Amino acid sequence: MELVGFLLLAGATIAGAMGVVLQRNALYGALSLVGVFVATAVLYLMLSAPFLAVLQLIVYAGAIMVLFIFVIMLISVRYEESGEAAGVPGGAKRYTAMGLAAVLVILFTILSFKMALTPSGSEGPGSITELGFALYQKYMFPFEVASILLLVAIVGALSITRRHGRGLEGNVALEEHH
Amino acid sequence: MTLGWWIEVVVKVGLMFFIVLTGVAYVSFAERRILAHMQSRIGPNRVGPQGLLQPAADALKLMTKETIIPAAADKILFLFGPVFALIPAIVAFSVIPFGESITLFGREIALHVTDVNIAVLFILALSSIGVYGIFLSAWASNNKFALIGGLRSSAQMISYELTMGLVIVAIVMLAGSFSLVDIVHAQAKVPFILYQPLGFVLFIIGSLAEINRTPFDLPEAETELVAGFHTEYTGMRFAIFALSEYANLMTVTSLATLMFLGGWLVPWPSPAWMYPLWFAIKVLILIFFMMWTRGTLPRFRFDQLMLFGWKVLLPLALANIVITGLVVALLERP
Amino acid sequence: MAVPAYLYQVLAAVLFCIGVMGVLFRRNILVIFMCVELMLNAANLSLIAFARALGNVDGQVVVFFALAVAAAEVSVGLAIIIDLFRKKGTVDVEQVSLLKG
Repeated sequence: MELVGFLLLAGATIAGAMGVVLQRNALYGALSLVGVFVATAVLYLMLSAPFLAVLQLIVYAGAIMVLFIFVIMLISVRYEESGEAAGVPGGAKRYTAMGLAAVLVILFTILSFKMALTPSGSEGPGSITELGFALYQKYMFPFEVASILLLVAIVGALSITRRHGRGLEGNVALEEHH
Repeated sequence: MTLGWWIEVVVKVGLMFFIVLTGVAYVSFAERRILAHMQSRIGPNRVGPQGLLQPAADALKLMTKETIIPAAADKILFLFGPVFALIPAIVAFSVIPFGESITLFGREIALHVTDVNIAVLFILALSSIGVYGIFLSAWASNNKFALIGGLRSSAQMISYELTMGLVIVAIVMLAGSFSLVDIVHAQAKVPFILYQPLGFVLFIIGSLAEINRTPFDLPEAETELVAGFHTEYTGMRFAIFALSEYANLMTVTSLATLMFLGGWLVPWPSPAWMYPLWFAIKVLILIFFMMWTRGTLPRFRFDQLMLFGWKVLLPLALANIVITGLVVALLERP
Repeated sequence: MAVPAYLYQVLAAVLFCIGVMGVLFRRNILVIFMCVELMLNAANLSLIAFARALGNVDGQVVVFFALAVAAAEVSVGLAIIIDLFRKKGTVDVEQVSLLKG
């Protein structure tokens, strides 16, 4: 039963991933990526990581992709995607790349098969309490650094997109209201 | 995975759909009557006794209207946009518990569809996904008013989600669990509204903004942007947007009840089967309050709205967390 | 029956390779960026599968941080892309290859 669920979800993720790579329209590609993230969140649920599954939905599907789609909309309004070759170019490039990819996948399969990891029969580690303890005791320093990283990202993003001048007038989002 | 389990799930899901859809229909009707009385008029009272069949009449009317799709619209997104708005609104109900577990036919049946121990976060995740319906429909309409309305609406929802999330953090600190059932049980002595008055106010304001209601309904106000992101939608699709708005209203009021007002618990002894009744009464009180604000307050201008969310509510929510954390840590020391 | 652990790794590897092919073959910089996110996602999946198989919560902690880093990276990356678009008027990587040759 679990195997059936896994195969369905795996099919959904791979279909979504192919959609991202092969879609000509970037917006539809972004929506396929959202589908991939949702399917991956369900996979995390199956892997006893409920907290991370929900975080994946909140952060990846709910924030990062929203940002992506906003930018795609902003850019598409002024720029028509002009004749880009949809998908994979032909010839030697295509076959070498696909061959490399296949080799990677096979190698990975053999390696992980050889490692003979069995899925733990019990619940698995994912309880939030355990995660919380690990985050705040063992990984306290990376936790604090991550918060500084996010602050740096906010400041960086705002300063890069500023058009001119100082203060609030330089920002696109607030321009239309003054 | 036994037969009993399957029957339980199917019955619960069917019941949930029934509750949500009739609830939504009659909440919208109640809103029209209540707002009318606040505005010194009567509201719909002709269809059926006291106008109670009005939602049915509305549904029939909307279903028979012509579906107009703008010529230059993105057809796939146009047709699927409302679906993205409605699905999270309804799915959120699957984790909302209505009462204690009851024993029926020898099985113990919990009064919610699924038993997720991260229920609160799940609802937050669903509201993050609900944003998609809005701006995808706005984009697909190929209409400048709709686009601006949709972008404003989604920016507003994202901003106020932060405040709601931070308030939820404070509640989780008090309750010690993300599960809604545990949060209600933690309020057995005192409802959290007494411990978190600031949190309650912040959550109510945040949820009003989250569901695009007055005083935060600028993106869809009739006097502003035609009708915002659902300008181009007709007939049943428009009905789906209205449905999703009222379903969201029911979700956030249920969440506020569970987190602040003690859910189904009451200070007097009560038989277990009456718990859903107390829950419903509390939710209805909150819904009435939200309709009351709609009839009373003027709406925010968009830049005022964003300023309020980021510069006033967010620091207050952070301060709330700090204070709550300090108090919890100091009081828990052995 | 339970899912054997290596299947999750295979899935992660396949997703990663699809992402790599996307990065190599697409010309729209936004799509390239999305494929990078796809690769990150594949790595996260692999980490969580290992965390489950080994009974260790450290894999999940790493994914937690990877999520935060991805959010930061996307916001700055998109800011750069917007700036690039404003200066060059295009998001086609073939046309912004000033360093070539």
